[in-house]
Amino acid sequence: MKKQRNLSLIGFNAIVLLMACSFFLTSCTSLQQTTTAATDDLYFTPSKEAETSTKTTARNNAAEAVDSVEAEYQDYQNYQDDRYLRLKVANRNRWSSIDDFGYWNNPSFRVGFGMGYGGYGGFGGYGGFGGFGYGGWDPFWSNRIGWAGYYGGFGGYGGFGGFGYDPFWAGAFGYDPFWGGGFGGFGYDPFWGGGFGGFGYGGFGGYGGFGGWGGWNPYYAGYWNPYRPIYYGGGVGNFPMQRNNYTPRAMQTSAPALAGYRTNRNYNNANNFSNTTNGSTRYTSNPNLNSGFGNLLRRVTTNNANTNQANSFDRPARYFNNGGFSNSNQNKSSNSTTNTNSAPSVNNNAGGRSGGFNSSGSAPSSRPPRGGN
Amino acid sequence: MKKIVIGILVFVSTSLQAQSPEDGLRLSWFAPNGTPRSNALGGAMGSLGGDLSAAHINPAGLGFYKSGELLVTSKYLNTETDYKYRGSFSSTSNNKSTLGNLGIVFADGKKNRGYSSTAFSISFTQIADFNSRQRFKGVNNFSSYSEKFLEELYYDNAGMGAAENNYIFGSSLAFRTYLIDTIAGKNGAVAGYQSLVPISSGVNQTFDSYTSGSSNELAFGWGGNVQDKLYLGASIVLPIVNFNRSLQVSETDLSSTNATNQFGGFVFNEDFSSKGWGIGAKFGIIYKPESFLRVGFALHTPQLIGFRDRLSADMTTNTESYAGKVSASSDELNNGNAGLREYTVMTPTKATFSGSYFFASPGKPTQPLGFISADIEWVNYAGTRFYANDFDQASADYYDDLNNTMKATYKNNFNIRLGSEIKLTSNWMARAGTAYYGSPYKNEFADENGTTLVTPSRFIISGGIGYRTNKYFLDFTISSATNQDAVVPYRLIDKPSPIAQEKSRAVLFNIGYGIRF
Repeated sequence: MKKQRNLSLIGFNAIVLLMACSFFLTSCTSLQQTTTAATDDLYFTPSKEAETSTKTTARNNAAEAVDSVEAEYQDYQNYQDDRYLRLKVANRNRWSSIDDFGYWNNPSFRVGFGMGYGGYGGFGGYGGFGGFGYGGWDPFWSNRIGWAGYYGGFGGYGGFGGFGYDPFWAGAFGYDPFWGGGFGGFGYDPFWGGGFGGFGYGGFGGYGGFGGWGGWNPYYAGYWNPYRPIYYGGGVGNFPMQRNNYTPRAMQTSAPALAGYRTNRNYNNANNFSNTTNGSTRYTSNPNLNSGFGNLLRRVTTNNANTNQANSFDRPARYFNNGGFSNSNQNKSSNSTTNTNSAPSVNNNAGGRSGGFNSSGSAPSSRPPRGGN
Repeated sequence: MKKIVIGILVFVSTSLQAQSPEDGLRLSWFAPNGTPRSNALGGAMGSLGGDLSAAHINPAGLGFYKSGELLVTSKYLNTETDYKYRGSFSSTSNNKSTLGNLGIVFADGKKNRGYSSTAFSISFTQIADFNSRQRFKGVNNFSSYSEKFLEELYYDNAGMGAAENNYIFGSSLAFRTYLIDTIAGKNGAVAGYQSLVPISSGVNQTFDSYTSGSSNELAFGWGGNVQDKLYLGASIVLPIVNFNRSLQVSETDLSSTNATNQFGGFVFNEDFSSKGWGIGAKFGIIYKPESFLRVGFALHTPQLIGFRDRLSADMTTNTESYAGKVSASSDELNNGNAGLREYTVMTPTKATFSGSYFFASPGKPTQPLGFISADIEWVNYAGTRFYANDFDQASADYYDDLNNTMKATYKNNFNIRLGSEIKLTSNWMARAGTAYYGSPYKNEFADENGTTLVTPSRFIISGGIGYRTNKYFLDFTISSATNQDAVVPYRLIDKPSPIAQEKSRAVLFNIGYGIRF
């Protein structure tokens, strides 16, 4: 432990030393600056005026009424048109079978295209307004988003929903032809139990970037279902999300440790009360209680030649069918097991998921025989 | 299962078991580390901005940046912890120095397209440090660690075949080493299970847990400034979690010379590692109605984190004349392999409401001399959810139970953070802060008499200085945290569970150096 502390200190000191060196090496230039107040963005620093580019100036000369945002967007459209025309000049029939220029270049649709997972996003792609609020839900394409399945993808709709296309604050969230559209489509839906709408991060140039993930619906999506894990399935076709024959159980296999959290909220940090007058022990730290912990014990008597050592003691025990105990019958002697009720039915396939792990041994074997006497 | 988290100071009450609700709490109940400036202000950065911690607290704060920034920080944490367990006192200490933050901000301070300025950041921050040592011991004549194995077999109605092979990380080891054994009933049937621990005479119990690792966030943030009035921001966050625990539990006979009670002792070792990464998002808004007033709101979405856990365990028990000294390990029962578990955790939503007031001399109202800031954070600790990554029914059932247990064990709560900074000169600043994190537990840790044994809480006091020029800045922070928590070494259904009362003091030294460009 001491060595570890020294190493930690050395590491910390090394970093501090590095910072100190850097501090002094740069101090020559900084001394002059200390005579004026340093700017601090946490407080306030004035913004600089925007630079006016040649391109913008030329455009303003041609059509001063055109807003620069719209102008850049139009540039982008022209670029697409040029590419399309070059393609058709080169070979009129290439890709003609799937060609639908008006469809694929519908500006309102393109925003969504690519923002979602798998190419057919939809978050923020169609409509949506406001930094907060309606989240650009696309009723036609949002179902395709994510692996939540065919009915997934309602995130971003309603409630505190979504950051979709925002014509007023373009660039902040949603579609922006220059920045590509921020973060599109986190959604919380109070009506549908809280969809997780996914993240649609727009890239550059008006196409979305990566993202468009999520879209789960607690009733249909299945996988991220807080109420029934993978219950209805969802999924497209036979995508293996379906779990049939779901049978709820009151107590799940191998979860007694969890039951300890729910069924027993008492704690103890003191030992058993011992009555020194009559030598009896109450199995609780509270002398006013006469707890029935006795039925959780088993009295054992061993052969003992040394009279100074007790040859009778209690072991923790759990009896199926309660072993015929009652609270008044505190300790049960080891030779009384013949008086128990009918033999309980036990399950040799129990367990297998202790603590969430697959806890079944892959090399089943028996325990070694008792080596003692 | 003990999960201790010490970030600036994080302690998560725990029970020393396999997977449990504490696994979820470890990912949500902590005072997140920030930059030295943020730490000095008690983390009350929700409405301030202009600091790299904004990407992790309220991304709208990135909108305040008008110049770029490169920041690297380091921290040194020393923790002293005292335990009281069944009348015995013990202490541990732990210290560690690590990289705190590494990040860069690219700011466009020019007015452009409706924005007065915009900024983009990439930052890596260690938000919680799991390095910790937890060790306590005491005499116990009330319950035994072995009883959790008894209860598992009893409540599963397990037969001998199941007891031998279907609980290889715990109960099967106890059964194979004769720490627990069957109770013979009629015609050789299994009437129940017994532990070989002579509980009535008492045993020495020792719990020793060493944890390491950290929880980190890689954030890509964007912030925009609209007319120096409204600030909007969002960040994509990639949480990266690495947690390791080495646990040793032992119980030994109170009288080492007593060879007639068929119990000498047992040692149970468990090595556990959990690694995960995922994705989440944070959104924020800050509004500045007046130059001296800011209000902010940030929403941290649930983070989806995929985990892969490994578990190995072994046990050696000496039952003297009963079965002698016998050892067993999970590896030998699993073809030499550790146990694997893959699942996904959805962390709870967090919402933060913030406000700050900037004060200035009457003659220069536009040149603030400092500020006072406050955050109130709401966290739904019960909202953590576990999901099976495979399509195994038994696995999904277990996580069903675990999620229900989370809801029954934890609650919503508020955390409060306060901070203030004063400009001493045009370059020097002094800072102070405090924070209080309330209990995430739905029920108090009370004994059978109704007396509360522990009220978990976390209280932080911090202070620091900063030096800033137009080219660089240097921040130094000292923070002290007092934590109270409970450690439940094992949980029982039929008896009150034992508890250790834990009090710790963590001192953090945090230094940061930044270059502005």
